[in-house]
Amino acid sequence: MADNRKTCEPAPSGQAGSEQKRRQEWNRLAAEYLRDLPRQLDRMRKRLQAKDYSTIKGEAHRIKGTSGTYRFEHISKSAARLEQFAASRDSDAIASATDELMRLIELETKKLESQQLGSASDAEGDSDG
Amino acid sequence: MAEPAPVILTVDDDPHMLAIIEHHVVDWGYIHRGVKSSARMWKELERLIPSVILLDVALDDADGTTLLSPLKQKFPNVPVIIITAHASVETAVRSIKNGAYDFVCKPLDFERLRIEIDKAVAHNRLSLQVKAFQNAARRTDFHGMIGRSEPMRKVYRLIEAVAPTDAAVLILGETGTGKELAARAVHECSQRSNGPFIAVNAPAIPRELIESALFGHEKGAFTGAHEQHTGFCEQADGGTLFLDEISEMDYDVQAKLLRFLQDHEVQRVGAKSSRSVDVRVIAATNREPRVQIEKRKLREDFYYRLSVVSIEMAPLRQRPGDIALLTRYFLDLAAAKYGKNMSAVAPEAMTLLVNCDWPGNVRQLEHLIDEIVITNNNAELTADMLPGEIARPVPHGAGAEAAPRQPQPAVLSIEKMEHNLILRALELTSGSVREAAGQLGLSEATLYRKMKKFGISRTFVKPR
Repeated sequence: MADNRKTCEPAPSGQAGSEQKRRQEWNRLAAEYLRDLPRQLDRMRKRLQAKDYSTIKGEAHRIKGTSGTYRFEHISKSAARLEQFAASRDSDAIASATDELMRLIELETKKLESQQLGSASDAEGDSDG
Repeated sequence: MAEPAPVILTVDDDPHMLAIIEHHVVDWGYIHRGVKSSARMWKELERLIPSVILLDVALDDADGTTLLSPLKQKFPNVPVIIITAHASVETAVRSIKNGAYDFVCKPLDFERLRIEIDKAVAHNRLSLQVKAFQNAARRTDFHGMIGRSEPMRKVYRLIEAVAPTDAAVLILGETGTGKELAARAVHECSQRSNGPFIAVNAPAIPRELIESALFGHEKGAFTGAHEQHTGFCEQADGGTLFLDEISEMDYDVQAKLLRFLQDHEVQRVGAKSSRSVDVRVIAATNREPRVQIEKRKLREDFYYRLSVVSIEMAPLRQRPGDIALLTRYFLDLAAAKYGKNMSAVAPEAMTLLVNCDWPGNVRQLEHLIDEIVITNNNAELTADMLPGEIARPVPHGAGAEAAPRQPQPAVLSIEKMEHNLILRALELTSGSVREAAGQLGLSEATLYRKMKKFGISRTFVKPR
């Protein structure tokens, strides 16, 4: 999956320190968002049991927009599909789409964690050198 | 003085969307407020008026596009940028039709969002300025003059009566009462309104240059006269020449001007012949002409020639009923000049302003309002923003307002206030005499003279 996150981060100001701080803040916000997404999926699963398709559609719509803005494009596309399934009231497709969304969230979380570890060891290396 | 950062208000029911928008918007130098519902948006708008609103279409408690109309009605100058995940032409058209400034699509492209916000902030600032200038223009009562009190009505009547004639006019009044404004009104009401209006503040012109400044000079007329120069009297041909502070002019310059008033002929310094000009002369003084004649500061013949009609500008303390009008006018003007939102005056503050003596008259009030608008970001001018001498006036006995003033204490008080004003202007401008003179509405030369008079040392004005 292409990681486009850097493209929407603030332009470098020429001060490496503040740029790094901004990136850290961005990563913190992204990690927080990924941590919250499973809770949103749980809510959708509960709404599915109640066959409340309109709420599911609304939640999926929101995930589509926000995850896309955080540049989690696969999550965004999967949420768009989920929104369509909710519009067509297709329970089976909704269930499998939420499972797919969950897998994508886990994948993105791992990716972000390894990125953070990488940048932390880079920073350590910089300070050692 | 640093301008406060514009406020961007985002309305989106997803807290993660609010967080990421805030992350960027703050980085771009704006102040960000985020709310999760339309109900909270209305509550927030009771507290502050943002420069721009970012409004999500799909809110839990409302369809964002239905909020556009009431927002536009209540805050016509605040641009609303619609955020939508439905990138359809339909949504865009509906949004713009309902009054949206623009729309952006989710997922957000932050480079585009930044451009849109910057544009909307500039649009907001401009529309506030236009509105404030329009308000200020609406508030003037007579050719840029403000006041509905009897003394001002009398001035308007006199101007209307004298303007169509070519009679010389002498305008009397304390400093800051609007003598030049009255002169301009005479010019604007006259047949000469399409011609030039040339204002000459004689004391600001060095003594050795005054004759050349007034009448012009030929090339080589004196050392340093490298080029031919057209003087003010000639520049005013077909229009009006306004001579301010005539009693500060040299006696012999007064004699030359008297000759000019009699024959309307100008002879440039170094010229062999004179030329005829068609000029109406209006003069002004902030001193009592009779006293100045006795002191031989003002030529009697010059005075009689100038004072065919005299217009007396009343000091502000004699027309307290106009203070509220003037305050609102200057507030609109300052808000427009500095792109601020301040548009109201708290009743307590207005009472204090109306009860003040205003030794520096309208000019003093104008400068005070300017200072308050520059240094505050509130929507309302409140009593705590007023300086000590206005916020805590010296109590006076009952009926004192209506009683005629005793000249001696008033003179002393004005001098003291003038001294304080000069000190304050110098403090505000970090000792720059040029800027302080501008703020006080004086020429640099006049300010230097007043500083000398009050013993304000030049060492004080060194930049700190």
